[in-house]
Amino acid sequence: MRNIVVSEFVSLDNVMQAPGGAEEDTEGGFTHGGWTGPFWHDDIGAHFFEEMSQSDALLLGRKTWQIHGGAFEPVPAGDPFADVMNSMPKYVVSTTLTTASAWRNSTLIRSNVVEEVRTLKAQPGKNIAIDGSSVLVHTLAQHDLIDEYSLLVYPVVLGSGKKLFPEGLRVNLRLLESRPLPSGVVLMRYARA
Amino acid sequence: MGKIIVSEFMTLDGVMEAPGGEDSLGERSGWSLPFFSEEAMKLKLDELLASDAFLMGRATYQIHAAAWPSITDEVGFADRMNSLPKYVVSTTLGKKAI
Repeated sequence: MRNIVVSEFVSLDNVMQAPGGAEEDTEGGFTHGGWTGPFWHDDIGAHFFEEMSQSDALLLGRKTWQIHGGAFEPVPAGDPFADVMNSMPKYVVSTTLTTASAWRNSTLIRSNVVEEVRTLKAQPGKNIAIDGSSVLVHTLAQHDLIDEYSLLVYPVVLGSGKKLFPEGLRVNLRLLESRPLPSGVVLMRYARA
Repeated sequence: MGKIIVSEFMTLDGVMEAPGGEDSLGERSGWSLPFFSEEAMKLKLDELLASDAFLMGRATYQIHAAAWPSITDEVGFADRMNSLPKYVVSTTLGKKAI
């Protein structure tokens, strides 16, 4: 049974929208896009590289998949992180896409998301990683399908934006690791309690 | 100039209501209790000892006021809570209530 690991940048007030850039996701009038930028440190990159090396599949919501695909698909071979992201099998969950051909090694999940994810989990392999994908994360959390949260918590309160944890859901977790990184970000890893 | 330090128990989703079994959160109240430790107690005590005033809203003040005057403990936590000058912010409390 594979573990599903949700890996997110998150503000102190639980916001995970548009960490990487101003135009990444402005839904809901979000104006704080790119809030992780000032805290970038090579240790954060190293952490993601490590996470990807422990995973052999990426499970993504449609928007996050489009953002990642748009960024990584055009990168010529030879970039270590882009190579990992491009070669990794990806599963994109969407009711509106008709093809997942825009990013190599992607499979489209159009319906029965929970059942499809259970099937993926039941296969042998390494971790299934999710990043971003707030709608998908909420669905999986509501069905208790998330085995681990790997959170990079930033020293910032954004006040609005898409939240990591869905409103109204109680989740009990167990701390696996807590590690401050040099730029003031804290890595916190939790497993299902 | 003194520093104002906000000291809270907080869940991963930013909730700070009813950590200790207060009435307001129903069955979810008291969520911090299963994780209580001597170390956490020490941390809170050190914070109290490093402060010389306690600033509170009305509801928190009333919860503390109902509990602490009758509590004693070996490490002096309750003593410090009871002896610290407290400032309660309220538009509804009368002087008599304090």
